[in-house]
Amino acid sequence: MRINAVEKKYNHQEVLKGIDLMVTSGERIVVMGPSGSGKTTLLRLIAGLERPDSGEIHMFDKIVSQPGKVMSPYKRQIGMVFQNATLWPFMSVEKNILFPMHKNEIKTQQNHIGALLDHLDIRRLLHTRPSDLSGGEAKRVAIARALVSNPKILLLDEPLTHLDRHSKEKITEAIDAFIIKNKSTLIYVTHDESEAKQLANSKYIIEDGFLIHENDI
Amino acid sequence: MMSVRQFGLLYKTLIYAFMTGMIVMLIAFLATSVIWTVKRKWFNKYIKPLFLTSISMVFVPAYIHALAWMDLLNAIGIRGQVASILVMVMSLLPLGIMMSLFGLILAEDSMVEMGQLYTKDKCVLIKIIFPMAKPALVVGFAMSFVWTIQDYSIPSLFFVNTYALEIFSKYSSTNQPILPFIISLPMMLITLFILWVFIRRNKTIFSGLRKGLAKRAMPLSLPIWMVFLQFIALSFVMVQIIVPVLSLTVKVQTLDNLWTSLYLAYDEVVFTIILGVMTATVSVILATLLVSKVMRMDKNIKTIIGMLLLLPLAIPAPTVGIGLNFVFGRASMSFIYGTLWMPVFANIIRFLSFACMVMMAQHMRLDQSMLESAKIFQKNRFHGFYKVYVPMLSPGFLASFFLVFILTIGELSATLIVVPAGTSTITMRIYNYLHYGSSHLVAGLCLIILSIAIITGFFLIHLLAKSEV
Repeated sequence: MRINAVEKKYNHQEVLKGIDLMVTSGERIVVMGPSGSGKTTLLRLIAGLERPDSGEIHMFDKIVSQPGKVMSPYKRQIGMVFQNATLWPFMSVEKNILFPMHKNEIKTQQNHIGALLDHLDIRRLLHTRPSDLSGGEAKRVAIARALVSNPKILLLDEPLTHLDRHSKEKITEAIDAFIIKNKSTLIYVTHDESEAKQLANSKYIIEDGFLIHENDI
Repeated sequence: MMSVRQFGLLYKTLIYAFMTGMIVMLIAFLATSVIWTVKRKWFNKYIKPLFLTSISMVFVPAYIHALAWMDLLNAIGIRGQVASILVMVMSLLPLGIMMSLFGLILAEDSMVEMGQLYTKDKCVLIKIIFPMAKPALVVGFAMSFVWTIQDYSIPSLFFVNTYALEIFSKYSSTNQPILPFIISLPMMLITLFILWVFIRRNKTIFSGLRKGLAKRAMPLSLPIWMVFLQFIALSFVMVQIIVPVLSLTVKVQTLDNLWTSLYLAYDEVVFTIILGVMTATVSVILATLLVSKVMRMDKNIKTIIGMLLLLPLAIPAPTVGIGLNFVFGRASMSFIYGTLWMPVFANIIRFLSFACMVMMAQHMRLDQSMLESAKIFQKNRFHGFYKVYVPMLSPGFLASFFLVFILTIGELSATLIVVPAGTSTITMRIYNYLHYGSSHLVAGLCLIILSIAIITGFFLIHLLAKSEV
């Protein structure tokens, strides 16, 4: 994935200024920076949930975002977890998790789905409604939904904030195993230095709207 | 006991109300779904004013739509049940638009965006947005259904017999209250069931509205056939606004005619305003007292009382009038019978529930910590009530006052039965005229009511938006 000179403004305020970034498959990067610096906006631009004001985003040698044209998010082979779990309240946990998959995929990917449920310790929750889940359980379900369709790019927006140790460990292990197996790209936004060390191998900081490569972890 | 003919009539009325409710909500959902598909600037500039104008027409009495559409429908050969359904749909569309918009506001951006990541935009609309809007859509359907099943003014204008009209005619022919009451029981049970669905769903709406956010998600791009359906639905909304205004204005012909119609109906105008103000004032006082008590009760009791408060909506309007005549028609009650209090009571029974609903919604949106702070710092109970509670609830007071006022002005079915001899409301006058064919005088009166209803509607929207009810 390649980002070329991407800029984004909100209400005439420049949030991101000329962002350049290149990540290859299997690479794991963490993006840090103060609140309101534009970390989430960067993830949303990559996902196709925002339109850049200028610049381009390339994925798999295709332009997927530019000011006049944005490829639909679901065509980008992306998995994403927002700051909140954002589970659809009218669907069971099972339906939430399997939402990104086609019916025939569900049949052929039974082993992968089962392993994911066990890894995240959520098999027993399948028939539960999201409103009955704890914060940690809801986040684990959200992670399962993001990983179930084997995305090539995984975008995580502070997925471990306010979680108990058990949930943090389960999620970290599941993500780690998934990336090793699938050679997916991870872009991870967090405030927490220790989380960054656990999951990423290079660190970027957003400062005054610019993305700066700080170091390799 | 009910005859076979009456069973048949009840069945026909249920189908009629069901179809009306479904068509209203289908058009409303398709039209309002543009909130997710057009760019925000475009929406604010063109679509929002259209929806606001449509919603402001929520209090325009159905017979005004009937008068506006009558000639047009006759000219193109649409009569009977189809014409009646069409006019009913047009008069209920503002309610449908309002409820559908509520529902679509409940669908949070992040939930929709999460869907956009994994599936086509068409599926996001059907699988994510529609289920999230469903509680409000169900309520909209229930309200349209109940309204249609209770109304006989529109069907009677198009010579369609309905069950509500049967109750009224039974009373007119026998002057006995028991028989109409017995035949109104099945309708009351059906309405109660629908209201039960309503009370179960409206909790989701009120609590969900607290989370309502302005839409920031990228507009969905839908297949062309869906965009076409949206366009047709929006055209219906436009027609629903334009036809009454244009048709009545054309019929009135001159400003002189407008003044003449107002002058000739002077007594009715004064009587209607007095009736509306009295009903609204008493309803607001009662609603405030009731709701402030209910809100402090246990959750289960609250549900039961909430249900009881909705109960009057299940009583067919003619039955309300018949019941009042029965209760107050005795010699010992003659000090009330035949006075202005009879239509006031009838309208309170019919519309107090609406005032309670508005006050409940206002209560649920109150920041409880502010009320608790008042309890700590107030000098006495009255001081806290007057300085904190009343100002915080004032949008609710005003909203429920105008809501009951405008509904009372348009009420016909119960008022017609209990109104004191020699007096009449504007609605009664118009309804009587309508049976003899429309004239510029009736159109003038209708135009005046239409203007009052639209102005009240805009005022209420402004109040509710300000107080975020």
